[in-house]
Amino acid sequence: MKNFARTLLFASGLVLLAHYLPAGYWLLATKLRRPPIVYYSCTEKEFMFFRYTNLTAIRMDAHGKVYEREEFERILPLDHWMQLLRDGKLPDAIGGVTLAPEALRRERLSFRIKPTMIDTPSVNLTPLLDADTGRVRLEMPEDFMRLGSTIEFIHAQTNVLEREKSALYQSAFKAAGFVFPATVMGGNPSTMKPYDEGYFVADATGATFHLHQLRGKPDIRRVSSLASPEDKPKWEALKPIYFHVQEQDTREVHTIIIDKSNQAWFVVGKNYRLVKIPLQRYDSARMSLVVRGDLINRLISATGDDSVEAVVLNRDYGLVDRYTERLVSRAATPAGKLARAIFPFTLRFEDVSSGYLGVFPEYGSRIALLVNGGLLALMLVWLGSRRKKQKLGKQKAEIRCGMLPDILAVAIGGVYGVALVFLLPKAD
Amino acid sequence: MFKSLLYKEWIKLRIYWLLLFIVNLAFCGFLCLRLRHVFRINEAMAVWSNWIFKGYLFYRICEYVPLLLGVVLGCLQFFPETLSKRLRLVLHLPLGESRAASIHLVAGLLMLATVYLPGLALIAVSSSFYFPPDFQANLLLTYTPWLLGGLAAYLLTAFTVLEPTWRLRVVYLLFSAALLRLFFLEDFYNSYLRIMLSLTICTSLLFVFPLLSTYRFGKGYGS
Repeated sequence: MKNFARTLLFASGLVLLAHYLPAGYWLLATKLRRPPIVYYSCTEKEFMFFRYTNLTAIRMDAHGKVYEREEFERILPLDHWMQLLRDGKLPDAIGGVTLAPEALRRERLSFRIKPTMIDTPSVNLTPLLDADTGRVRLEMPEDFMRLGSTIEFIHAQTNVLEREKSALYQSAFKAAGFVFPATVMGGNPSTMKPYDEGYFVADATGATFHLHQLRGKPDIRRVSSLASPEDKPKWEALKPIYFHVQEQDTREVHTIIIDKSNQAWFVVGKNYRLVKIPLQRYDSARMSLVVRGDLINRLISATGDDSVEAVVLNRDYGLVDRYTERLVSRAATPAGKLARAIFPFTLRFEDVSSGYLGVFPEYGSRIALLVNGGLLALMLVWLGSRRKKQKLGKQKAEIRCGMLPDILAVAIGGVYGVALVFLLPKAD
Repeated sequence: MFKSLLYKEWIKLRIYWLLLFIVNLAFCGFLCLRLRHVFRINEAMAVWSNWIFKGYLFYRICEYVPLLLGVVLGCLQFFPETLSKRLRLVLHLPLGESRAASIHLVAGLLMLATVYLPGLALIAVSSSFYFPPDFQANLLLTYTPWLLGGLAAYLLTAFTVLEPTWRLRVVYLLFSAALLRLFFLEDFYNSYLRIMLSLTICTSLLFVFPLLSTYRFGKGYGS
């Protein structure tokens, strides 16, 4: 028992030190490290950047030329149109497109999808707003929709199932060919938006449906049946894992879909055109996806710990330009290299890839393995010399067995193991 | 012998148990009243939305109550035994050190469970008036790491208090604090869902730590 308890104590100690020591190290060693913000100039036809160096921010182009703020804003008129309008410097037109303030405001697009939005705890209850109540503003309904192996509505104030409404929706889903249970659902349950896009739902077969509530009645349609003939096969093959719905004034983009193969898609226009976002490095578990649109272009950037990739699409979603930049990841900085040499492994319980807690290990470099080996050799020599001095007889085998947790802790944990050998109770 | 030791612990701790039981029930009762109050002054839609979309945990106020109860019970049960070295008498019983210490721990864990469970049931029943079953499951899963933290706190308190040397007591105190922090990382509901089983297994493995301290106590370390 005592050996088992000591082994467990060493194992727990390793877990704790592998979590807290690197966390303490990074508390001291962390420096400001922000990826650049990427812009695309519709006047210069090139990418522009807002870069952070130490505690200052600089504006520059892809050739390294640094700009003052006013010059930068002039080159990016569609990103800074309000300031230019105030200063009387907004051009009347760019490339034949008239820059009317109302159109500039209306045609702006802005989406941001973070990995934690895709993989996060949720409760299968959400309000289904009425998209056509006849009122000026959207209103919160009094019930919540539960969509799983059936569709049900629960009145929030009384906590009672609304059987009539549930049956009405259940039959509408069946009539639309929806196969229960629903696997993925995405909507924007807020009234602070210009209109209601409803929910996009994937059924058990992976087929995508678009659900609305119109004047209290269900409106559910299989999206492939609404799409143009050339888009139908793409819709049938699509296996979504995430729908991002965020209503914007332009009403152009219904949703952004991330599918099982990590591909991001826009769903555009009345006939639900499926537009592939031509990013080559996007990993939905590790990178943030940002979409910014204006009167002329759509700029999509994917930013992770070690790279940033951006593509520019025109208003017809044709590729205009592409930019990729390798960033120095935290592990590749001098502090990161030192950490990987000292710590054989690091354990974190939170990660940017998920809203769930978990065990997220990071492994050290080969130097850490060498350090482990060196520390283990020193320990064995020390143990050997101690034995000779103590001249142990029959107890030898038992003591060897008792020392096993210490030896394993140093072999596996390196510096963590050495700390534990000194801190925790000795074998007797 | 098993029943006798359990009975001895019950006699020793029953007044404290009753006090802890009342404190926990009072806290849970307060929480139920607070929930009722929240639903009285807000629309149910707003309360549900705040929970589901913003992750507002309205009962977070009692997050550390199970932990506190675990620490208090652990101290009340084992401090008197170690201060007057009464534990030595128990360790000399024909049961053997490990078994005798295990029975003490089982007694403590049973008492702690009987303190926690009625409070939990009260919360579950009162919240069923306001939330559908999906919510109920959610609420209990969010509450579970805190309860496990309470049980872990009890075992780690026993581990620390039973250790005979002051140097290791300080080390165990730091170890316990570092370990217990991992039960309270939640800032959104259901965050622990994927590691709940591992957390439960780890908590149950902590049972052997006080046995190590008891062994060292029996061997006369530090005296």
